[in-house]
Amino acid sequence: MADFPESKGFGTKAYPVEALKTTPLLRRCEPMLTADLLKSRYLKGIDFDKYTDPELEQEIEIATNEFELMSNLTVNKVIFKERIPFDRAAYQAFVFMKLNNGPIRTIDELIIESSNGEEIYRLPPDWIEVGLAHKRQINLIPILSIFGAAGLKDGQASNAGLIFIQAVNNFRWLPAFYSVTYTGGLSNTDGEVPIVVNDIIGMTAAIEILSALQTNFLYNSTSISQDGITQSASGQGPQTFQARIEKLMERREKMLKRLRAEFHQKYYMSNI
Amino acid sequence: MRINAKIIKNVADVNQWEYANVAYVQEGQSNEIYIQLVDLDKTHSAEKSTALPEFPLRYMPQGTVVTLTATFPNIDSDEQFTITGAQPFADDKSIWRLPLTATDIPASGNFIITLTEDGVEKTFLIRNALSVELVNVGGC
Repeated sequence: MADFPESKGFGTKAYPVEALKTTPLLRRCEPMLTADLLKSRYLKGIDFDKYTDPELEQEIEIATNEFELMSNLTVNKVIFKERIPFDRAAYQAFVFMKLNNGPIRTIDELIIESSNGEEIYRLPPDWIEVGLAHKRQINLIPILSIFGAAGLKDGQASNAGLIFIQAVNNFRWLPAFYSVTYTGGLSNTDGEVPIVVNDIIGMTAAIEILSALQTNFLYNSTSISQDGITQSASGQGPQTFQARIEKLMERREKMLKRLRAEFHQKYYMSNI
Repeated sequence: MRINAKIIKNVADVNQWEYANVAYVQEGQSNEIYIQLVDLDKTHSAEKSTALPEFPLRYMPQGTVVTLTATFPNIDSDEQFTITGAQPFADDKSIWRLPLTATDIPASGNFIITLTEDGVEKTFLIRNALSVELVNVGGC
């Protein structure tokens, strides 16, 4: 990352998770969903005279934002900055940190920062363990084969920082201690997304579009008669697409659940 | 006045071209993107949505010195780049060509246009207008 020369990643793909190398033999990633793809994949045979292509694009945008909220995953890369408390239990577990956003692609900066925004100490990237960053976990493991001057800021020991670090020995908990700047996203390549993500976004958009379109079918049955001749027709009325909507919702929930399992882990930690 | 642009394709001359929802760009070759400047506030009466018109009227840039640049955003500033557009037809100044070399690989999604008319800049975003087809699609 050009803006952060000390960025550290694990070198694997965002998707498939933990993949080091892939071939083009099977396509797993593609550009963001477009209106044309939405129609072709999820809305075949649907009469679209109520929707224009810019409106379909807007539905995709809304569905993408909904997906980010539902899954707590970031589609395109975003740089986050987050404050992490000092927790003695986590500190003793190799400074276990669980970040709020993900999946994390790189840790760009990890500093100890005072509440007035002053940088106290810059932790060396060498110490940051990023092997489980895709599940938002990072650790500080300062056990390296070579101990150099990596922990020094600009080659100079920061005395104020060292005093600050010693001072925390007396604390069990400091509500804001570390500041982590990191890049999160579902792909290493901006603009590319896993096909399964496009699938969930497409289903979300299709559910909304179908439920809006089916309100146009006002009547379950109609009949006309004139001079003894009658014609009648019946259908599902405002429930016309309900079966399709329910199938899409069911499949979306399954996919979302599986995707969350790939990029999240549950853990419980407390201080008594 | 809401200046924006629509993607067009199969451009032969001022009378022969088609609207497209997205510009497809393929990795590993040089590409061309054609856009037509439009005014989203000037629409046909038949438009279903005035907020998101499908076929707004074209916009002819005003001024004697007119330039247009396209910026393809990326979170990594090293990957972001800007190219200068050219007007391929003197008779229709709303049409612009954006040439991409084989090494210019933008990211799929939105991109930004800056139109300068005699020193007055107008910047706008073309939404979800670019679909970049990469070669290695086995992972990302």
